[in-house]
Amino acid sequence: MKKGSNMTKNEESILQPLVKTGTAFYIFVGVLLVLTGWFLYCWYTQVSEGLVVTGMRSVYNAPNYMGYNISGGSPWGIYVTNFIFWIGISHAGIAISASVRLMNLNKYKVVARMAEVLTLVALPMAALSIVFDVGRPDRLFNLLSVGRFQAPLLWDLSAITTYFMGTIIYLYLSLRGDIDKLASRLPKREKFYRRLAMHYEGTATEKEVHTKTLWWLAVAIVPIMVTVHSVVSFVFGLMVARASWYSTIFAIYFVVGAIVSGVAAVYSLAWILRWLYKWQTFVTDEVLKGISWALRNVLIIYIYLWIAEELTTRYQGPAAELRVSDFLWSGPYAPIFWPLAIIGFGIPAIILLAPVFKKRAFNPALIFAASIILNVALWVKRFTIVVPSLLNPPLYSTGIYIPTVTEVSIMLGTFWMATLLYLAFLKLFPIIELDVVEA
Amino acid sequence: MIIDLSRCLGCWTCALGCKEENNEPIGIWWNRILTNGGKEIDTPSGTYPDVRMTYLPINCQHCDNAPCVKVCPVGALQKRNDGIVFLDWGTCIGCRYCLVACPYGIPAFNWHPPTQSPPSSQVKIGAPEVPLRPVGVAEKCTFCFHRVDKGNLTPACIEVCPAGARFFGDLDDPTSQVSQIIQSKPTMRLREELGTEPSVYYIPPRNPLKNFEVTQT
Repeated sequence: MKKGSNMTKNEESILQPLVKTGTAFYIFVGVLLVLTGWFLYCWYTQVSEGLVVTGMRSVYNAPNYMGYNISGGSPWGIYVTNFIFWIGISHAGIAISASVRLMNLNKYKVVARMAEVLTLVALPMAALSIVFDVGRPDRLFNLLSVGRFQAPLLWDLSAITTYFMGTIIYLYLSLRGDIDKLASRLPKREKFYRRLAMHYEGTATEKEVHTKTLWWLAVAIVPIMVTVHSVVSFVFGLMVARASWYSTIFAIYFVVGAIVSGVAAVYSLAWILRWLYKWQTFVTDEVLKGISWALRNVLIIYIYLWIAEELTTRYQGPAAELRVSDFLWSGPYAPIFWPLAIIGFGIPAIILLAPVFKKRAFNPALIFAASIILNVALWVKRFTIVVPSLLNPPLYSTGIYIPTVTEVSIMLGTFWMATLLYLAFLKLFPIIELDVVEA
Repeated sequence: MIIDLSRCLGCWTCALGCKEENNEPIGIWWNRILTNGGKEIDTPSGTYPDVRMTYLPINCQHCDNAPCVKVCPVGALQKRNDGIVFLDWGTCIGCRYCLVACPYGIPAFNWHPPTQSPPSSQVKIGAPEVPLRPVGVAEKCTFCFHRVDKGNLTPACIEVCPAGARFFGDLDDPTSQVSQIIQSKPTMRLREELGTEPSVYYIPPRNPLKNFEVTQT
């Protein structure tokens, strides 16, 4: 069998990231590895010196300690923000893929795997954010040995691990046929792929069983995904002591926010990959338009929920709620709140809504910019949900929260690692299902 | 526990006694004395000449419906049968959920490795039952259960209060001193509307300002 002779033209196009690796790729990976190294150093500092290197502080006043100001502040900060963010990103992936399968939206199958891998990469990053956040990462196994199921954090743990396992199985089953194909297409790595395919034969019965199992997994995964982000919201929404958290809207608010950020991330990824590998024939404008249509609709729902929340707080808000709200509207966080509302949500909303009124206004690159802005905005939005409320406890308030450089470096570490993991997948497996383009 | 605010001088002796008894490292206070209404610590509330100086010592309220116990993911926070809420820093994973859940801002966190001045290697203070804690765990008032369990002792803060403003006893026992005080005097509890059912009662200060409210430091 001659090398490469058994590939169709489409397959060759899809497998190009597996076959070709340019200098730019090595430079990019090098930069990411350096950044990851810096992150590891910062994490080492945090573990050895304690969480005092972060900007987080207890609620009450205390005297200075060796140059560190440890007077009051917010006990949770950007690590928890980052946790919510990654859970949000993870949301879309498998959910999009599952809905494509359940509703037979075959047009969008080309982005299904891009989305699934995103989930797979994002969930460990969310878990890592919690590892950064806790004071004793060495004792995390206590969650398994003496965990209490009455505590919202345990709900998170179980929902996320279920989701993660579901994602792995789902991705593997949908990937298995492709791995088998790869073994014959790329003779150099044949052994690796053969082993990974676990005796997949590619018979008709096998294919049918896979399709059926995947369908049932999709049925199971959609409710799990709603659960995952709902329980993340319950970490906050059930705290009676915290003004602006304690509300019934929170679960819905978080789930919709997660879908916005997830769909936006899938759009960004699809656009980048299409641009990098010239995949205009697979990821067509029609597909991108469809994703942007979904993004627009969920964004409108999110903005609607947000306005409803602000109005309820501001109209005749109780003192405690108003205090938190003032922190954002006119207080110390106003410089991030107003840009968040206007640039972070207003501009993407305009970009996404424009094609409704003028068909020719649809511009994939512009919507790509909107999708990136939206994800940054949603990160900041989670920050404005978590921190101001913690800085305004019911009894007395002190201090303000500003993250330190170490803390930000550790937080950004999740982004470098996620990118590296995604690139690794890109180099090992086809990011578009081979079956999809054969048709 | 009952704290008589009309007697409290704001001298912080209870806080110091507590710190010594429980071996609290630098930066950690299980007991804190807030000043009512003033902009800074030890400043009166109101505008001259209509001003008042009142204090509010707060320590763990040992709530019957304790939010911290509910949210602790590893059960490090537990409620004993006698009502004392205690935190086991041998199990604590340092997630700081109790700091977030507590309406009174009580749990303290060991952000840095615990230190003392003078170092604990030179001067031994504190009860032997209360060891120095590791970095990265939360801690809080235990009502000195290592003393209370001995039977005839009360928490350190009660013992040292020079104004006799603090009382300790069994609220379930109608003949105890604290039950008698609650029956005979008007008392209040902090943020009762949150439904936490605190076990610490306060006797309001004598002729406070109209808007008696806890605000700062």
